[in-house]
Amino acid sequence: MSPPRLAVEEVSLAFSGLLALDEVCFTVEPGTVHAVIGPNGAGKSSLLNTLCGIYPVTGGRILLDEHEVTRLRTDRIAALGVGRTFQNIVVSPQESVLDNLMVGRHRLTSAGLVATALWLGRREQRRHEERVREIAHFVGLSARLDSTAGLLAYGDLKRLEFARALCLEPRLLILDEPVAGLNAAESWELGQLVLTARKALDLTVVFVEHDMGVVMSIADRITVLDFGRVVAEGLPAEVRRDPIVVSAYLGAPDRPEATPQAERTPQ
Amino acid sequence: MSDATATAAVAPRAVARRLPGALLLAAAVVVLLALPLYLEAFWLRIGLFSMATAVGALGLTILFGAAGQLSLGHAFFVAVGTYGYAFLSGGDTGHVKGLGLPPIVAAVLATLLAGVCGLLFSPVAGRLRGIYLGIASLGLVFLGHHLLLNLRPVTGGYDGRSVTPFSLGGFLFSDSSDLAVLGVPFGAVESLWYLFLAVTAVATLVARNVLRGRPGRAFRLMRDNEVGAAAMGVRVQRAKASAFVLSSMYAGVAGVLTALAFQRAVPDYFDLGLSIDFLAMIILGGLGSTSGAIVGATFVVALPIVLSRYADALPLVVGPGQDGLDASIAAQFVYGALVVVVMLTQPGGLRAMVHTLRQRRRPPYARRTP
Repeated sequence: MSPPRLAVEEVSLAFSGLLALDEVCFTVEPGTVHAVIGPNGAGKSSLLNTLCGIYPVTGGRILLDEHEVTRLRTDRIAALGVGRTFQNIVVSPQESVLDNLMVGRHRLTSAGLVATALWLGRREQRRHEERVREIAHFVGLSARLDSTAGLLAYGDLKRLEFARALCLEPRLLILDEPVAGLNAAESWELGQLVLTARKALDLTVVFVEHDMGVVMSIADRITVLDFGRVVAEGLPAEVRRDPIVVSAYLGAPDRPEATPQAERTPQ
Repeated sequence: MSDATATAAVAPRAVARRLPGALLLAAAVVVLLALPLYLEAFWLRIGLFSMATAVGALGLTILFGAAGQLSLGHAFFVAVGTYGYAFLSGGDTGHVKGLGLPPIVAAVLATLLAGVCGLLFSPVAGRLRGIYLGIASLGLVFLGHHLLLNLRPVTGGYDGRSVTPFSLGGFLFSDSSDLAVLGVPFGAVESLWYLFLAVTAVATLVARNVLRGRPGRAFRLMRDNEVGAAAMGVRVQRAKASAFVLSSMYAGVAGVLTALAFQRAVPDYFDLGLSIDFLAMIILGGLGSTSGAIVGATFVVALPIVLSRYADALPLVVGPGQDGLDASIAAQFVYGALVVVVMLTQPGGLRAMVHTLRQRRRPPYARRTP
């Protein structure tokens, strides 16, 4: 299946008076890697959470190809082939790495309570385990499959989350700060993994990241958020030179587009 | 090395690793099957109560241990199983009514009835989380107790009602059967032992399948992070509701077994204390572990009975009715203290303790590798 196009149309998100996203618009073309950057509190994670249906939007539409996913439940969106990772690592710490990865197969498997109770889920489980081992091999976790997830090194945990998102066999991959906290070599490696996965698995990728080295080297396009609004968008080389972006990051005294208006009440 | 040769090289080692466990299991099965021939009824009866309770604990360990949903209403569903069986299988005696169904039908229906009660409560169970569900389910125990006392035609009120002995295909699981095996008379306790053993074994296997399979994995991620589970495609509300229904069916089975073991249903057994006992069992054994639930249940059930039996020989403890520290109270002190110790030192319970010991015996880097 070809990778999907993601269209974010005038999406707004308000938390009782605090406007986290203000009519955000951008399009992610099929098969591209799209970065969302911005200073802390700009609304990047909120944006990813609206894409997954975790935060219900207060206005606007989100389209995955021709499907409107704006008001779908999180698990429905996942079922459409949207896999994601989280900024603060979300795994079951007492479970093995293999079990954690197998959760990613949830939407692709069907054994319910009754079937599982009656020994009927085994074959399905074995078949999917094979694929999970392949994915673990791809991210370099093969030797860790039987380890307890909570005992993994931080870098391995980051890769575990990435691998679990891939286990969903996503069409759209959403990564929330995939290399945060990793050293330069690990960051570069994970960045390359994202590119390889995009190509091998036909993915569209949206990611939020502060590591500008990784952003500039793997993103096809970049959207810059500040105070919940899009302040710039373009190719990495364009964005890097944009005075608005520089001022948003460095805090220059005159900020032509991004006046703080976060306390406005929503319409 | 290719994948195939790697697997071939690992396989004999895997067998060697599983062999001691398999032998141990086989030995345990043989011992369990032979016990009624050697033990006196006192010990067998402890076994019956333990198995009945263990099934209930298995249900709670799926709900709380795996899915992270606390229920203090477990005693209510056990009561539904007990009284459901007593009412469905019992006959009319005086003002206490019954439907007089065959015991096996009554047992199955009583289990389903507990499941239906769980289903009725599942809109609540699906929307609440962890400790909040615990508080909400607390009400069930009080409601249940009130019904047990006042729904006299079904429950027999304060005095309770008697329970029809189990029978299957003409064989009666009671003392009136004159069967003898190897010179041992097979009364209610001996024959029920095998029935309970079979039910407990099936309940354990089903729980293991569920916990190790797709639903169990979804439950555990949901317990650790609801949003994360939803992002993996887990329908959180439905998963919570189904964990609750499954656990209430386990409680229903436990209730039926309890009825058969006691041969009487009395309301005071099904109070909040029972719910809390279940909680203590699964915490002692290790949350989310089937073997832990069984060991925990055996411990919590057997301790007060054994203590009161040997009250004369033990310091501080006295038998029922005497002046001093009652054995059942002493047992509560013991396992109350144990719960605290386990939570402080070994939050994974007995299972984790065994696991750690096993890992220590093996050289650190020769552990399981794929």
